[in-house]
Amino acid sequence: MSLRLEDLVVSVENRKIIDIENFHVEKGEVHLLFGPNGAGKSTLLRAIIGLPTYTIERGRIIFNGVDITNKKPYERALMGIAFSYQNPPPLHAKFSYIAKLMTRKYNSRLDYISDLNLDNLIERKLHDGFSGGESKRAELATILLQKPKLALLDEPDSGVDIDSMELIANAINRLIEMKSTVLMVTHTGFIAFKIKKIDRASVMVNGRIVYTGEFEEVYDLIMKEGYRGFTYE
Amino acid sequence: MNRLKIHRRRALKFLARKGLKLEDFDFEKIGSSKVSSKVIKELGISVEEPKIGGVYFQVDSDVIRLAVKKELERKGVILLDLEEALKDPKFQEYYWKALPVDYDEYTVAAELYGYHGVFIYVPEGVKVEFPIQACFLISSGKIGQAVHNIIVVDRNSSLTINTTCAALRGEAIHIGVTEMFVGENAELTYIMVHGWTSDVQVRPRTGVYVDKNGSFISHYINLKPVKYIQSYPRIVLKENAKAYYSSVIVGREDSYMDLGSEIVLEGRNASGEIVSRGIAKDHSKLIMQGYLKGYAQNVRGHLECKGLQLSDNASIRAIPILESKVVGAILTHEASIGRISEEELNYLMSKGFTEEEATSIIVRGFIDVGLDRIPKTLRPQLESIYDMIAKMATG
Repeated sequence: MSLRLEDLVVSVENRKIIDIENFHVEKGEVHLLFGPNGAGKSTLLRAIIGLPTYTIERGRIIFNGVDITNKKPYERALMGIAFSYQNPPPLHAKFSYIAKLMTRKYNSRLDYISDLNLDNLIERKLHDGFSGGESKRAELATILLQKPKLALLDEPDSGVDIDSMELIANAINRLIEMKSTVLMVTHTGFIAFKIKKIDRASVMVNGRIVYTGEFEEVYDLIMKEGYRGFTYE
Repeated sequence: MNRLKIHRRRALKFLARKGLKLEDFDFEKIGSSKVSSKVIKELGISVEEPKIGGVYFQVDSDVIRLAVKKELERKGVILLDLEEALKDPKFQEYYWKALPVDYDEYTVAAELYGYHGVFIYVPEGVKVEFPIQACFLISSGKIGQAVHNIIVVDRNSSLTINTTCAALRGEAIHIGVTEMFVGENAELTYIMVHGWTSDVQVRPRTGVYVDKNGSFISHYINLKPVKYIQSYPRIVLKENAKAYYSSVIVGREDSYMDLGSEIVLEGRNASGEIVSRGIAKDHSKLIMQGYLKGYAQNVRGHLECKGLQLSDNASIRAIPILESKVVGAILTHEASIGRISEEELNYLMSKGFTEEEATSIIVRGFIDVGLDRIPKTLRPQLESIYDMIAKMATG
């Protein structure tokens, strides 16, 4: 098992956002996480990577059998967890400089940057003035540079044009070829049809995982009923 | 009375008025040959290096190396100790031309106590491909080093100068007068790296004249602690001339750094840009002042001054000044002082960087003012200095 959440309660500024009894993603699995706005999907991914604003009130996060609940974000990253931001902050540092350091850290190659059509942005400060699509592609590039065991992708497909969507899907397919486990948050799920394989999907409502099943089944249910039909029992 | 004597008389008059006392410092110290050979070896400064056009190296008050590539000599490029150069009346006209001798007590001290300095002349139409390296070193305490440099790049010529000024130890004072003259359509790129020690006082005094269509690019880095440095180069631009003055200042320990520059847009269509970055650590005090003066029609000027505060005990004062005296001068500025954002740190930490590494990456990005205007051969040296600064910021 790649990721297991046990009785996990996460709060932000003393407000409980996540309350998950049990959830897991198998090694090499591609798992989609659906849910309405404000369900807590992004919060969940941020808590898994360990960003400081997200307080673990209770429970454990287990990654490849190791309890990482109290590990620092960089320790989680170095263990093999990569997180792509939905809205990354603009950085002072150049993309090329960060990318170069990441290739050294993770023993990876810069080719991914060209593959994501980012050569024209490489000498700019990362995410500074990037368009939505450019930022998403740059995030995917940093994910590939990490050669992760578990990739947490927060809406990599939202607000991007068709061409960017194609490149992002290719990058996710590359992750699948690398045998990375993928946990991806998506609103529409459109990107799913460009990805080589999707194993399962879950629906999150009000901070809880309310349904998990085969991707096609979950997707059909959402398309028919929206999220209204999913409630926590 | 000859020209040189007039300057000396003015200096003495000024000194009498100010009652300046510099007796504590030995301005006549001859550099130790042991130190000199060690430093030469460490810095690898030699005209035999394929990518160096010439070398001027002064330790304390002793010129220990002075050489120019034969090929440049054949083209008429002159590299001399200033004292030698001033024996030629045609070079005397540049002496105290960009700065008056009685500008302040330090220009006066340079006149009265100074020894040597580099003189470079590039004749009309000569493009000097590889930089000329100038190095001024103070080897020990109680030394006063006062130098006077003159650089003349004649019409349609180009030159790059790479200057390093450093001290090894002890309480000392460095006074460096530099006068630069960029002729019509000529280009001068001037890089200066300062690496002092915490007991040293430094007073560079710089005046630059850029003639029609000329271009002056300057990049200044101050990376080590210093007791007190105060410098305010003045760059005067004639018609269509351009200047780009960038600086990176790192305040550490108890350093007091009052550094700025002034661009006088005196000719029509002249344009100038001042870009500075200051980092304040420990108990350092930084004053960053930029002054743009628009005195002719259609001039353009932009000033960008950014400070990064890394300690509650340090201080930064950013002072952008714009002044216009004509209709049609466009002058702009942006000044800011900030800290390292948590959001940026967290982002980098989630990508696998420790907090120290993340801080270092952000500082590295902050000081990177872009080296596009700097000759390619010098970029690796500056990049590695940037890396060093970024590491120091977290130490």
